[in-house]
Amino acid sequence: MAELGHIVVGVDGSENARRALDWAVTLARPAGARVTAVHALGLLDRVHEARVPSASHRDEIAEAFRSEWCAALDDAGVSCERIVVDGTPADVILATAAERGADLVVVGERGTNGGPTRELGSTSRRVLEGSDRPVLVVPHEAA
Amino acid sequence: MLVLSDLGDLDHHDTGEWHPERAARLEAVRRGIADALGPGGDGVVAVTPRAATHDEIVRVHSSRYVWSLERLAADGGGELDPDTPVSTGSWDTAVLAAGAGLAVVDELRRRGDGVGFVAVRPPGHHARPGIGMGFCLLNNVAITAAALADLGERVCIVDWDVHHGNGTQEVFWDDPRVLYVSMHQAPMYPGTGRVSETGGPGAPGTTINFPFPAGTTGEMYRRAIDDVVTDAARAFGATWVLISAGYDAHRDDPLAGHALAAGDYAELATRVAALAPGAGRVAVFLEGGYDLAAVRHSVAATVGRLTATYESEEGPTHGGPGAEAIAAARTFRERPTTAGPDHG
Repeated sequence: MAELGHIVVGVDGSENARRALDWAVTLARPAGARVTAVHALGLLDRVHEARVPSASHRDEIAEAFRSEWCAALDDAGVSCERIVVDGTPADVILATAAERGADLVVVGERGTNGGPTRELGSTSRRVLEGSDRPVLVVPHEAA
Repeated sequence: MLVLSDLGDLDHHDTGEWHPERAARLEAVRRGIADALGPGGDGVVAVTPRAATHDEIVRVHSSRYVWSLERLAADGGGELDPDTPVSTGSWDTAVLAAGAGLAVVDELRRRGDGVGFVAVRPPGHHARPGIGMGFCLLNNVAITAAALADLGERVCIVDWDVHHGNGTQEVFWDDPRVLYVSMHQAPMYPGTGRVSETGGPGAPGTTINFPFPAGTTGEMYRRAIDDVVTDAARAFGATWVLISAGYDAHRDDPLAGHALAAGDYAELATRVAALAPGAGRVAVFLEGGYDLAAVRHSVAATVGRLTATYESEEGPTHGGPGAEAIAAARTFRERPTTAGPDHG
């Protein structure tokens, strides 16, 4: 039977990503699994509803990621880490999962560019297509 | 003489009002060229962009990606990643952007004289064989370099965009016919371009990276060419030089933190053009650059120097960090490795 020892979850500040992180914690806690939350620094990012160039807001984005977007990890009772990596979200999530030997990848259905639609976003679709390990895509409506 | 291919009214790549990679960039380029050559365009040979063919594109990109990009645009658009929107007009624009470089090179080969300028968008150097990214859909400079390489030429690509050209590097990673040189800011998107990335097992030493820290000035870019790239290009035997000319290392650019001025691009253009063995073998491809005034002044400086018609009022910059990257690149030239990035 497969064991759940390490979960990698993509976090970008969106509501869907918050739900994805909640699911990662929910699954990790009873299994005693470690959670790695990862944020990809692209060319552009979104902080506090504003689109900003990532390069000139690196510290602000990293701080928002660690303290706000990953707040669910603070008292989750799971072993966790929070990392920020330069690159395209799908590539960063897949590479992080491979480097850490993750047993599961969790992503939101759509990120900060997406509204409440049932269509997969570019990141969740590419993670599904490119992953060699199980992927959980958390839909917008999931609670 | 400037052999110019400009998308003009053929640009239908709509990235949205908020996006920094926007149509106004090409207007800034036009103004820069006019600053350098005069409003009448004296000395300009205009070349109409043509669509790159499927066979020309798949020298660089997978058929699967080419099909999916065309389909995405035809289905109303979407995005390749959060940075990279695709509109209904993006496919037609992208194949013209890719073909514009081929048309410029054809004209340069016919004339045996002049310097080429490919004023197109979307930019290309982040576009990987299997997927576009980072504002880029098709890798314009790589498609032209691959065509030249198939004609038996040895192509040196110098990429002075402030972001590492991960797509171009990946395309030619194991191809000994193309020397790829990148000067870029690190750490920064896309996260590749370490100095230890020097080419694949079939092409050791044909990739040279200078990952410069924030605050780097034009002096370090010039020294990289003078101290490392000139000898490397000579040893490689470059017969053509293509420049991936991003203008986002300019100190006014909002997307990065380097400190170049327009005059630095004149100095770089002089040095990089000198890597070619003769006239009619240099073409400049627009990549990034998002401050419109900086783009205008930097293009004017580049074109003005290459055509000996204009000198920028913004002089070159000096000092600052970055010497370590040049020293490290020199060390790796002496001992190239094949340890590279994960291109998977």
